[in-house]
Amino acid sequence: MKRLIAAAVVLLAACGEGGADRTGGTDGSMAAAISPTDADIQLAADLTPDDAELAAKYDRSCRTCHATVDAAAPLTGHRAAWAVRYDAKGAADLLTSTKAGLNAMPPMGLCSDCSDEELDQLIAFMAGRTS
Amino acid sequence: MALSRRKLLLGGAAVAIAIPVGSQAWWSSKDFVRDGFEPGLPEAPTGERAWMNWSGIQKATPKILAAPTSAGEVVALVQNSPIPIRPAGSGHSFTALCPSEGTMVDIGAFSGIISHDPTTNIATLGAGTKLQQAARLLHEQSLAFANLPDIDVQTLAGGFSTATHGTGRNLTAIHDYARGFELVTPSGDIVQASAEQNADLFQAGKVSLGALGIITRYDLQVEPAFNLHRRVKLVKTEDILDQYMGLSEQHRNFEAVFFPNTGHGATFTHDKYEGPLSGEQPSEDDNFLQDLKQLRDTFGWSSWLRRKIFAASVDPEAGEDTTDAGWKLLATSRPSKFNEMEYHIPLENGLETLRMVIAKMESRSDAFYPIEARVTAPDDAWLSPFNDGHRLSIAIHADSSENFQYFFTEFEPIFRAAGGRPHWGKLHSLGAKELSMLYPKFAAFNQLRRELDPTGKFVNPYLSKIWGEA
Repeated sequence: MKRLIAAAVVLLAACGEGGADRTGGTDGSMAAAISPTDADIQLAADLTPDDAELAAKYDRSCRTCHATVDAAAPLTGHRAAWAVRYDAKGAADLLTSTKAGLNAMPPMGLCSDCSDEELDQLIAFMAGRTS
Repeated sequence: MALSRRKLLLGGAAVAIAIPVGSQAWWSSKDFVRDGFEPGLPEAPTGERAWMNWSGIQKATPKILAAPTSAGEVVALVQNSPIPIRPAGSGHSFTALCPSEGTMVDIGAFSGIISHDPTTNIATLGAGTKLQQAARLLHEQSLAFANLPDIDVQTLAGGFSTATHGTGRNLTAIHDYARGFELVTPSGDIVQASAEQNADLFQAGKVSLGALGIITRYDLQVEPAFNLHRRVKLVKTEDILDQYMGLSEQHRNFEAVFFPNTGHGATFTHDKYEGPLSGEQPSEDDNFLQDLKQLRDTFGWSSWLRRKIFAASVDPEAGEDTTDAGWKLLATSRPSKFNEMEYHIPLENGLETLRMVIAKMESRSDAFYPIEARVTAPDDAWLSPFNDGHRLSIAIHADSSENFQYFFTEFEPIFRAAGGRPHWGKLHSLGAKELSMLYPKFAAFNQLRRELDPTGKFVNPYLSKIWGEA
C-alpha cells in the first residue's frame, strides 16, 4: 500500500505544480520574481493618494484588497508586480480589466462612482507611477 | 469560509499533488466546469449599466446604477428612479437580493466613522462602509467590533441586512451591534430607528434584506481594541467532531473546517491575548485550496487514495500560532470565487447534522471545497436566524465555475429536516410559506414592509417569492 502511494507521489512530483498563487498569477516563475517582501506589504498598508477625494475613494474601494497581501491582488506601491501587468497589458487594458472585473476583483473595483479618469489615477497610484 | 491552512502541507509533498497522469487519464479528462458558466459581465443595452455579484451567478443590467452621496440624493432616487430599486452592497450575496433591471443603489460613498461617543462606546458609521475599512478605521481609534465574519469586503448594510456572522459561542452576529440606524424609506422619508424610537422598525430593520428602504447610517456598539492569539491545527475529522462542542465552549472564537475525502479538517481558535505580537504572516489558504483541488482532479476517482495521499503529504504537527490585532486575524479576503449554501442549525441538532453533511459530501467524488462549521450566540432581530437560541452554521461551497445544483437536492433537505434556517445571503430555495414557519416574526416583518413599501418599489422577482407576492 505504501509503495503505491509513494509511487504516486513520486510520479506526480515529476509533473510539477500548477494552480494560482497569492500574487494572482498562474505562472510560478513569474510569481516568484514578484512576490512581495515584508517591506512591500507594510508599504501597501501605509500608502494613500495625496488628493483627498481620490484618497477617499481608494480607502473605501481599492484598499480593501490592494493593501492586503492575502487578497492576491497586486499590492499598492509594489512596482514590480504592477510592472508585469503594465508590460503585458498597458494602461488602457488595465482600465478595461478594472471596469469589467478581473479574477476576484468585482467590476469597477468596488467603485461604481469612479470615472475612467479616476480609475486611471487610482491604478497609476497603486502602481507607483504617479509623479 | 475560512479554510486556512497555512503550512498544513509540506512544501515538497504539496508539489506532489499535481497534474493527473497515466491510469487517472479517464478521470482527468472530466470537465468540472458547469453548463452555462459565464464569468463575465452581461452586455448592457446602450445607456444602461452592467452588474454582477462577486461569484458571477447573479447579473443585471439596471437602467440606473446610482451612487448617491447624501441622504437627500437617496430620497430623490427612491422617489423618481425606475423600479425595482435595490441596494447593491458589495455584491457578496449569492441569492438574487440585489439584481434589478430598474435601479441599483451603491451607497459606498456613505463610508467612514462619523462620530464616536467615548462614554457609551457607540460609534456612528456610514452604512456603506466596508467591514474591513470599518475595522481598520476603528482600530486607528483603539476601537473594535467584538467579532467579524471571515470575509470582510461586505458593506455594513449588506452584512447586517443578511445576518452575516462570525463564530463564537458567546458572540452574536454583527447586526446585533446596531443601536440605531437612519433609513430612507421607499416613499422618501428619512427615519431614525432605535430601541427607543420606532422600536418595531429597529428590530425589523437590523436584518431586513434591503427591503425597508436604504439604510444610510448606523450607530454601533464598539469596544476597546483587542489582540487575539490564533491557533490552527490539522486534526482528523472524527477527532474534530468529538471535540467540537467542548472547543466551542473553551475558546472565544472556534470554528472547524473539513476537507472532503481526506479524513482531515482543521480547527481554528482565537482567544484574547496581551503581550508582544508576532504579526500575521501571508496566508497560504488559496494555495492550499488549489492543492485540495488538484488532489480531487487527480485522485477524485478513489476516496481511499485521496485519503492516503493527503495523509502522506501533510505534516500532522503542522499548524499556525499567531498573535495580532483581532480585526486582522478574524477576517480575510478570498481570492478564489465560490458559490455557497449555509444553514443555521439549532445547536442541539448541530453535530448530528454536520456528520450527515460531511458523509453526504464525501459521497461525491467531485467535492473538494471545505465544509465549514461555526457557532453564533442569540440576538433578538425579527429576521435574525439566531433569534431563538444558539445555532451551528454549516456552510458548503463549490468553485464558482463548477456545479452547485446538488446543494439544493442533496443537502438542503438535510439542513431543513434539522430545523435549519438559511443564511439570507447564501443559496437556498425557500419562499414565504417555508420562511413564515421558521420565523415567528415573519408575518409582522412582512406587514411592516408592506406599510413602508405599499407599491413594492423594493421588490425584485426574488424578493417577490420571499414575501409571497409572486
